[in-house]
Amino acid sequence: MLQGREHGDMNAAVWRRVTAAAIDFVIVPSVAMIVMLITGALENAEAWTDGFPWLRVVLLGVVGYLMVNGVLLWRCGQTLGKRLAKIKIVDHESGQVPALWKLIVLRAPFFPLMHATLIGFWYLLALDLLMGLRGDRRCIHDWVSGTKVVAVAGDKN
Amino acid sequence: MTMFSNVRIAVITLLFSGNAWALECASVPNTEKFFPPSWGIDVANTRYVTPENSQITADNAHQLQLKWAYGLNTQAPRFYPLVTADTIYIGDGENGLVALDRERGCVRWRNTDAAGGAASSIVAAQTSFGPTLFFAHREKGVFAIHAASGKTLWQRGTYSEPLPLYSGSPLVADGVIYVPISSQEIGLSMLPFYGCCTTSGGMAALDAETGEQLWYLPTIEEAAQVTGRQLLFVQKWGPSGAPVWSAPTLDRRRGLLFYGTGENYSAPATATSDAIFAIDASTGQRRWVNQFTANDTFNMACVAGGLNCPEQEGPDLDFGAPPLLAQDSQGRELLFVAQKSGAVSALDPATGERVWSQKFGRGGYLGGIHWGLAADIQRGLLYVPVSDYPAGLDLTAAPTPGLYALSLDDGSVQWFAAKDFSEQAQAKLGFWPGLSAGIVAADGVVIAGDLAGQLEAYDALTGAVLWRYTTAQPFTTVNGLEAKGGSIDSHGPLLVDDLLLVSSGYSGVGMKSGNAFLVFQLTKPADAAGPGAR
Repeated sequence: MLQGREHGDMNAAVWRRVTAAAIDFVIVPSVAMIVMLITGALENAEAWTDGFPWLRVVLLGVVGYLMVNGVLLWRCGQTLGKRLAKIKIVDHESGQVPALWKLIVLRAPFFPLMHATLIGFWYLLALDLLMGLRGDRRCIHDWVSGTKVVAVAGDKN
Repeated sequence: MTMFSNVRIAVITLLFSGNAWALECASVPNTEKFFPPSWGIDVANTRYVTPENSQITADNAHQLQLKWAYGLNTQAPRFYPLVTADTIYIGDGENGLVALDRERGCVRWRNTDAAGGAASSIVAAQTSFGPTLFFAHREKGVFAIHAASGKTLWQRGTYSEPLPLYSGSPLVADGVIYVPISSQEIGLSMLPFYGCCTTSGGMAALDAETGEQLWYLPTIEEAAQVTGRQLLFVQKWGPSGAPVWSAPTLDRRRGLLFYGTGENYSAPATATSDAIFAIDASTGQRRWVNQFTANDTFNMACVAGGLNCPEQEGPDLDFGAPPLLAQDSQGRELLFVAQKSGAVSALDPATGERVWSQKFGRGGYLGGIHWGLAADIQRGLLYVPVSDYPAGLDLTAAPTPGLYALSLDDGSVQWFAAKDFSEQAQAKLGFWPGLSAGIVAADGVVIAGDLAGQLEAYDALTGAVLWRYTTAQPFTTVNGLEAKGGSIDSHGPLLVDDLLLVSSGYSGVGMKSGNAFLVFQLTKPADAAGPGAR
């Protein structure tokens, strides 16, 4: 009856996903900012020539994301937030840890949507999350990367 | 499809497109003669419109009536219009530069290349392309636009500064565009992770034909050095700043260009901030510099509460009002300069030495005297608008907002038209009624707009208010866009023929926002030539 809800293959509870997202939302930019301060990437006039230095901001975000989550994603299919919330990303078909390139190239680009809400693009995130209201709780970023988020084996929703 | 359906679609199409039709009148503007030639009406920046260019006088100012209103696509309009026999050129926010029909306000052409930032006076000059418009876009630099077609001819800035901000109005004279240079670091200083600051203000000269830079003179010539750290890693730099954001003044007889500077953004302070520069107009070599306020280090972090605010925060007493070159009653030429502090001084244009100096009002970082003076040499009067908006380090002194008329000879007050800034008056007006915007004078009349949105005509000899119009109100516009007025700030009103033009609304520095561009006209022709005659 409860297909896909056994331990280790149970769709993650919404509150755990929200908690994980909230942790990542704060931690990744914080680390990116530390990188920014150390490297001085946005510190001088040259960085700001020709308007807002979007490329530098994006690169800082990528570096911050990989520093916080790179190894965890590769080894466990988890971001730091997901690890603390005891959930993980698995391949939708096999239930195994997805290939790293899928997590980085297909799934991670959706991460900044949370921060895009701060500059008015809230509807992009809303569109992504609305899909998750369905029974399988898979958002657009889950579909695009062929993944789903499940509870870690041994932990109850 | 039935005939009924076709008719219904046609009616709906007409209903929805009718407004657009009313807006557009695509046509080639008359480009035979342009007015004004510069921000300051003339290259001496007197802001005085002669009787041949304005029929509005003390006797008929009360006959001014709103002719039409145009809804701007910005809440902080910062352009000064340019007028021909049948066209008014304006900066319309995201719509870019727009040529409006002078009679009806409909659109002859739009140039959206300059969307978002046409933020200076619009001036014209003859080039090999034909009559050409010039103005500054705050980030993109100077645009040259074909006055008849609206096509962009070129767009250039200075390559000598990494983060130039083109806040001031360029002056075009003798084939050269003199471009005031400020710096975007004034805003970046609010970011705590930004290492403030390394750039300088300056004056650039561009070729009017090509936009090529002929020369550039920074206001700070020494290179910035590291002066400390914040947040462990972020290096602080200085000296920096001394931006130029007002229109320069040309003294053709001496071959000099005059302009004022603002504060230093970071320590150490230099001897060139809050100063008046005189430079060779053809080479850009310094002739003299006269500093009025020393050790004034200030940036926007001081307002926002950021880490980059200098330890010794200065009062931010820029020269925003362009220097004004005029003769006193003895025929002696003097350079009149006015500062945010409220100080007005007359200088010897050859040496920069002070001839006389007076102080009016309390001053502050929004003025004091903010955007510009006017002079009537025939009447021997210098008109000084004082804002005294409550913003500054020391607000203990009593404010005296209003319009002063000073003797050009010695600065003595001939009359003072005080603004009522009582709590009751402010409650009624909805804002501080100081005079921050530039003003304009004509034969027997001075036109000034205040931050509460009142537009007033003063008698040039007595200061009596001859006419008043409340612009801080909603308007029905010719382009159908919802519009309301607000503070009258920045470049202020313009007089031309039987017209008075003004933008109302200025959210730029926390003033009362608004998006109304208003055209007033004398209800009776002032002479046999009739209204609009040029």
